Amino acid sequence: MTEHQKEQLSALLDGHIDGDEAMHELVENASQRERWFRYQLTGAVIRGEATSGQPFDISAAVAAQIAAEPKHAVAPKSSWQALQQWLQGGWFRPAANVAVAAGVAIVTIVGIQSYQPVDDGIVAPEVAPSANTGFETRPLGGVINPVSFNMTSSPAVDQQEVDQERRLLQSFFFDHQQQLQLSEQVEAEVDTKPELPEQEIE
Amino acid sequence: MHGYRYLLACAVTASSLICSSALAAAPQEELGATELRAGEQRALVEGERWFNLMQKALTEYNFNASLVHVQGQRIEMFRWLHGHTNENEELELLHSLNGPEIHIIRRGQTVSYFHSMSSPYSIRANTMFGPIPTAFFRDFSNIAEAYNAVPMGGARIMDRTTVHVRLIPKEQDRYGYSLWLDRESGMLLRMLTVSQEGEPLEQVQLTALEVTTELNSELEQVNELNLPPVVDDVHRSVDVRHDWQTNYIPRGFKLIRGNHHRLPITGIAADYYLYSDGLTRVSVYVSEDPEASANLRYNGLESLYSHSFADYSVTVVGRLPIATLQRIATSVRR
Repeated sequence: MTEHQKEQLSALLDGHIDGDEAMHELVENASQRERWFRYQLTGAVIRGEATSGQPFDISAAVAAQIAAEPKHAVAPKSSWQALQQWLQGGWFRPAANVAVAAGVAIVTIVGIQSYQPVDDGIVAPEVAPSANTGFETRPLGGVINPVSFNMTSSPAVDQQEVDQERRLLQSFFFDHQQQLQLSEQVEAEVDTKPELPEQEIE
Repeated sequence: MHGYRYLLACAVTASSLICSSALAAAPQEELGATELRAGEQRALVEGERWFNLMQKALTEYNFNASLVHVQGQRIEMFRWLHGHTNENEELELLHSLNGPEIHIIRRGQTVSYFHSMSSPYSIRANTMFGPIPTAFFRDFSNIAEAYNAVPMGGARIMDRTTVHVRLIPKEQDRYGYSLWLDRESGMLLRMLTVSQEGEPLEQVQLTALEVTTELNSELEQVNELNLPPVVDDVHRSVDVRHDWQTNYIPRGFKLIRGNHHRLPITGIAADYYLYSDGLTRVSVYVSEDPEASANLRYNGLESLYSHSFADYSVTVVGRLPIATLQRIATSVRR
């Protein structure tokens, strides 16, 4: 990934770029997909509320960039309109798009897809099936949000070690969010069972 | 007139509560302990009543709102619609206005998540997983074991007169919450998550609110959507591998989920336990995978603490102070 692409990606995550074309171009490249994913997750753990002692260095530049994020959406389009555009073509999108989803958010639907963890910035377009088949949910409204992250301003410590720790943190935070979403499901089913004894659970 | 008297009563009972909790052991001869206790009781009953009014407003009104969610230096903005159809089915829509496009749609017990960068999916649930804690959509009794609701007076929020209700944890090992509820309707207008030291950790503030008698037309359209498939909760069906003993779990937390699964990204296999006090939840991962063996610390609104034992490691994640996570993590035994 070139510096320019990194900048673009960073801008995209901050919402500076819009339009499907830019989005499409950015996520087309497999290594970028993986990096996008990492950036998203990294946002979870390098956000401003972190206190000292965290295993990350947030450079002043990045902090400034976060602070300079646009604070207000201007003239939001109708959410219904956006959603409809989105839904064109149904749930099962063209393969390329599904791969993006798998790479970016490891979201898979009802066991159709599987994923396999990767250790560095490259995701194979055809992901080999792993033992870990299943769906994944997408964290929302919580820790995991995109944030600008400048790779060139990393601290002068063992980069590999930092990356490894970051990867572990992401892994736990991401899973925690998924389990929280799924635990809501448990509670809903418990609530409904007495009322709907005949209903089959999907 | 009535409102004014009410305010005064709250101020007195609330301050007495603060005193009694801060100086738990202090003698209170001068004020008369029984009188004080009666005041406390009244405040708690009032607090609970307000909480349930809020829950009713959040689940029963037709409303069209905007809100901002502030965490550290990050600001997210959402549109939030809620209503009931003529068939009395609940519809809800949450739409992010900053950053990546996110839609959450709830139709009855189906909650669908749409993210611009991933495939949509649905979960069977009564509440959306968004910026407002799911506990706020349920009766107070669900959190009564771990929290007191105490009215603290009022404030002007969104040009409305509100009641400030604090959710004060009964133990000092977790965060507290402040709610500002519309005095007329009980609707939640502002929310604050605070640390034990009283530092704000997270805020939600409504910026616009329209309550209507009729269902919003946008929500009517939602009712006609084909929602994405409901996810298959494969994790749930796999039992934990070992009978781990978690010797310390904070008061009021109950086990609500336990399984064995692999984590995303790293593929680490772990026995997993999820505990809830009704309001906040904490994940406990126990893994024998050497890759999980790192002494990680992360201190934020959502914190993480991991502790490595000789042949297994424990990682605890949740919206709790890191000291509490540490205490849990170090208590897990084979």
